[in-house]
Amino acid sequence: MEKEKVLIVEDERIVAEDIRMSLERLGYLVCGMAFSENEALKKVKELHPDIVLMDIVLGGEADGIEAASKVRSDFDIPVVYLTAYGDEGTLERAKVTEPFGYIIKPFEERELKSTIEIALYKHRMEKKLRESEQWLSTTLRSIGDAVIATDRKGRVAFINPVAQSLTGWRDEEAMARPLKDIFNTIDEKTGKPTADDLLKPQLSSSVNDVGSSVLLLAKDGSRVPIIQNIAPIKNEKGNIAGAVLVFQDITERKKAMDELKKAYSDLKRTQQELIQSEKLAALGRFSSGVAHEIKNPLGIILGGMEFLESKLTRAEKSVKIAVEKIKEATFRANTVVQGLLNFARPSELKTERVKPDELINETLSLLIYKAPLSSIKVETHFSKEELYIDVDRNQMQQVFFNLLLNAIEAMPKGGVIEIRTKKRIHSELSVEKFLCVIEIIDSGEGIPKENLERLFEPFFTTKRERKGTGLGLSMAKLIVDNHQGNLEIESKPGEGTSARVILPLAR
Amino acid sequence: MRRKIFVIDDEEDFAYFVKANLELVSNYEVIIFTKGKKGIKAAAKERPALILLDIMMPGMDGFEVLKRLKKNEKTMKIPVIMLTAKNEDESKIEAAGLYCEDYIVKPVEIRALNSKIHKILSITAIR
Repeated sequence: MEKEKVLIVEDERIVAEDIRMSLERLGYLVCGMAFSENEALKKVKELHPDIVLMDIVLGGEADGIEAASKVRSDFDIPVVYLTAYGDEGTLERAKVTEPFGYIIKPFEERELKSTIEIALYKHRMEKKLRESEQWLSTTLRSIGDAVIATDRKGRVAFINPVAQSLTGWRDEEAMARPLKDIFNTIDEKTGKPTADDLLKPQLSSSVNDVGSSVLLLAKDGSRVPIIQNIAPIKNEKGNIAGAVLVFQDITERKKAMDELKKAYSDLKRTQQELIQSEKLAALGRFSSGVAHEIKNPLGIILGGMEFLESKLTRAEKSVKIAVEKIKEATFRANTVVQGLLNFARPSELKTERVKPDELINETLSLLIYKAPLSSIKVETHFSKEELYIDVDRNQMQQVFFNLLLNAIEAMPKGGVIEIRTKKRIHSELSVEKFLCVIEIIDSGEGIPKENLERLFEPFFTTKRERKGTGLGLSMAKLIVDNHQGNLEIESKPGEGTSARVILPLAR
Repeated sequence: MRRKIFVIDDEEDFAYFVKANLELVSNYEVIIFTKGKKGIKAAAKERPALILLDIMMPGMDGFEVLKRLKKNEKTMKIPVIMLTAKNEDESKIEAAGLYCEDYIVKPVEIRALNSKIHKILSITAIR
């Protein structure tokens, strides 16, 4: 093993020489001797001793304590004081420089050896500890998560750069402050502060996931969604020495999650729409056959009723009313069957380029004959930009007619119908689609949630008593689908309904 | 003599009421055939003023009957109104291509039917 190098700083040469001999006998290598402070610092720099034996009282302006302090701070070399004085004042001053030992002159060799060995050992251990601390602190500073550690009273003892940037508190501002000053969180849903002393349970229990996502209120008032985890710091005896809080900014993760959720719900909607169109198509095929079979008996019923009618010229009024009602029912049944046939074979589109505004105005003028508009105000807000769509004029009129009629019927006590047209650019997988949105908004009674899901279901109607067939909306949807468009209906009971016809813009 | 109108339709009851109602509101004699072939044969012999013809019939369907009526010199001038449950465009186009005079979808009110018959007979009378 290499001999430890010792530098002796002693202004009295004889004493110095005496110490050198003792040291060499004890197996140390005396790499040098210095007789003043300046010389001591110069030799430390040159020789890099493992330990310095420093006389407290040196001749010259500065004494050994100052020299020791520099040796310690600039070179990280342990210093053992040599002194003949045992006075309190000197020792007090010496203490500040954290000496590794004192040797009171005169000393015995044995004493010299043990003091040097203890000093070297202590220095090695300190160095190790410092390195390990350094290493840990670097680790904590480098990791991507935010880390705050506290002492057992919950005061910040460490805050890494990520935590500083998330909380907005700088290292020096945060240190020794209570954790709750720096780490302020509210519940994302309720907006209320989460448990105000989040350290309490942790300081007594083990690792704890404080919970799902909460919002961190940064110093500047901004809110960051985070997930957090807090654990107690225990010393070797198992006593709690503090807590470590680790948290992560989950803005991006949340964004990704939201996007994923949206994609999922879009997919689900598309799937449902697909099922709906499949259902409609299947129903169409089925009804085609059935419809013909129904039209013949309807013909017979109508014929029979007309025959009876002609024979009942002198019959009671009530009998005539009965016959009239049967005839009416026959026509109604026929309308339903005709609707079914239209499903079976949606007639070929005779498309032409039209302005949606024109189409709406035409439909509105038709509607006046059909429905009382007196208590209803119709407001149109057409897009300032000229929009064109390629549609089958008659079929699309039927769609708007149905939607407007529904809106009117939703407002028996009157109200406002707002009709808007606008351009919308929809980009999907970086392909831009130019769409025309025609929105019909009423201020009516709205649609209960349970009915909303069934709106496009053929024969689903809540207007049985008003002779609704339950085909209006499903037909409208079919027509819009056939135009490569989309019909969306949103409604809030008591507030009104908004129907959107979304069609590709003509190019 | 009353002018004759043929109804060729496999739905006997439907044909029955067409006959009953038409005879009530007009002066025509309505004769029913439930099979196309018999209708064609009788038409050649009796030369009715007009034929009401169903399309969907077992055996020979209305299109075939129409084709044969319009090919035969003896029957080609008899106006034919298709009276059917079929309401598809294709069916209407096919019938028009075979030179039927009109196309009415069941069920139909007797007044409407009668006025169509009347209109067609007035046109053919001018011819």
